[in-house]
Amino acid sequence: MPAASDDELRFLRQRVDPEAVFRAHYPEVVRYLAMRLGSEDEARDVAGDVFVAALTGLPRLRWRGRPVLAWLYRVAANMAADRLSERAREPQPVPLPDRATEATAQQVVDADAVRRALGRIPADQQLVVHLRVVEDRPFADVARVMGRSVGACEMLMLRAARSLRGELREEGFRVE
Amino acid sequence: MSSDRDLATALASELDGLDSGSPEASSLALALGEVAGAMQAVEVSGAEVEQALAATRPRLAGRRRPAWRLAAAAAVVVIAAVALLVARSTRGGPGVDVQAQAIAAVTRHAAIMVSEQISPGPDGGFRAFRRDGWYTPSGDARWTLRSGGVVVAQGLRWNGRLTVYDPRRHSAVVATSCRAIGSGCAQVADPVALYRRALLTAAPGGVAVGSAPGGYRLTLPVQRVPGGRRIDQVVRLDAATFLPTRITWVDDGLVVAVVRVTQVAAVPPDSVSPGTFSLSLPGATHVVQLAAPGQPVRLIGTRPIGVGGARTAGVPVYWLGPRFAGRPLTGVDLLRYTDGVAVRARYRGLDVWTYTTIVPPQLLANRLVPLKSLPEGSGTIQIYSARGGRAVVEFERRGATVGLVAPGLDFPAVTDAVAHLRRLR
Repeated sequence: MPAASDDELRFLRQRVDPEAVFRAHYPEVVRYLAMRLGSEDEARDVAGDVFVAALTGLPRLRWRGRPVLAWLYRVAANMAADRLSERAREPQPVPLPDRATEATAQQVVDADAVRRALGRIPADQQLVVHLRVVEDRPFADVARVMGRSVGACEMLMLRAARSLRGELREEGFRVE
Repeated sequence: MSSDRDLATALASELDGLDSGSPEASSLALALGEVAGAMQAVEVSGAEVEQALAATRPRLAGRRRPAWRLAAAAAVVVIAAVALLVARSTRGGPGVDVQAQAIAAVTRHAAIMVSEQISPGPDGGFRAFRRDGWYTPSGDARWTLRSGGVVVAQGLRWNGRLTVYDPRRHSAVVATSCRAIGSGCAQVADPVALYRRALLTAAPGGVAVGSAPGGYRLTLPVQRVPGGRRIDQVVRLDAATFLPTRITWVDDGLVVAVVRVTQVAAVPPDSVSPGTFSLSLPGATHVVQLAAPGQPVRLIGTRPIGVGGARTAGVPVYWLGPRFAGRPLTGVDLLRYTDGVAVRARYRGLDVWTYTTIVPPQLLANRLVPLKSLPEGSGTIQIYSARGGRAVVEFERRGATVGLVAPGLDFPAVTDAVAHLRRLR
């Protein structure tokens, strides 16, 4: 029987230490949910639910070649999708603009425009962008989390980048 | 690009900071860069993480914690291909996996804070001293050694660079390896940090567990101390916290050092105050930078590489963009030294240096008196006066140290420049 790999040992250690998993990954899950939901406040609301659901199921996980982080993102993606479905069924209030200096207001507009553009690309493209570009993980790690090959993730990134560039142009960004 | 597959590969290269030679891939990478900027601005502080965890704990505690059944432990044994004897040796009693709990205790947080009293074995060998320090899993460290109540050394290991300061001689050595330090690697090796590494790298079942007064005793496999000595670590753990309270170093059955851990805590990131992993040297300190084994760091050559070349320089280069505060970028140079490289982006009257293992001697020689330390994120910005009325500003970014040589001591302008720095992609 072959010895356990480093990845498997890490998985086994994380499985018995939910607080370490929380501390290690809470910030990136908040950022991912902010991307999916288009709102930092809502992201923070949902992140707590994500971790309760994910960490409750942690002891029952079995090693199947994918890290605990993959499980976390699966739960987060499902909860984000549920929240978006609920939102689609309800009328949404238009948020009032914050009081801000001119420079800060422009930064807020730019960041909101980017998030709107992100929100319009498919969920799997959002995830690969989040993992590789926002969290700066190498493609090998991205592949492990997404359960795909490195080549497949690179192709997905190409599609995501094209989609995003088009959406950013719709928002008035010049990307050359 | 002949195909989407080629373009995908080129885009991956651009995202790695390399110049793919493809304008299309570069354009797509720029679009992704906008995303990075917008989403990385979503900040989640260490304090917020702890508050969220505290709010989540009661909801997690409601779940039924499954018993650590023999079947689950046996699965670990099978996976590790070790016999049932191993399962017995890792347990401290029914339902307690001591090795796993010991690992969790020292890996739970970003940093370990430790105070130790280190004494020689029966045969003597060194004078007893006290060590206080901070250590991270990545190998960063900051420590102070005291003997007889007097500080005899302070050290910092950060970004692969080692700085050891001797306050009695007002001198400091900067190097990439502890072998360049006069006291060798013994000073750099911290017992609790070595214990943590030994625990994490031990094969499942490679650690023998027994009982000890007030807790457990672990005997870890033979470990190598930097410098070549091989030791066994016999570690006593507290029964409640699973943190080490005593570490005995045994060399071929002979006790050579006893470490009483007087204080140890694995702490969350927001408990580490800004500037913990920094070492400010007093103005009169004589600083020597050495390349192992004991040779001074020398400049081998300088060549202009431009923005494109900076992407493949081998260090994550930081810059202020093509123009900053009316100053255009006039050139980017790669400087090769005997123990590393540095990249310098030149603006009219203002230089941005990026370096890792060595501090460019030009920068080191220009630093005169430390003026101010400003908190910045999880670290600090160190500001020094420099020759010609200039200022040298030094701070850490992901994977590198950035040095800014500014034309004057205008603190708002300096902090504005720091805020505008970004990684060149």
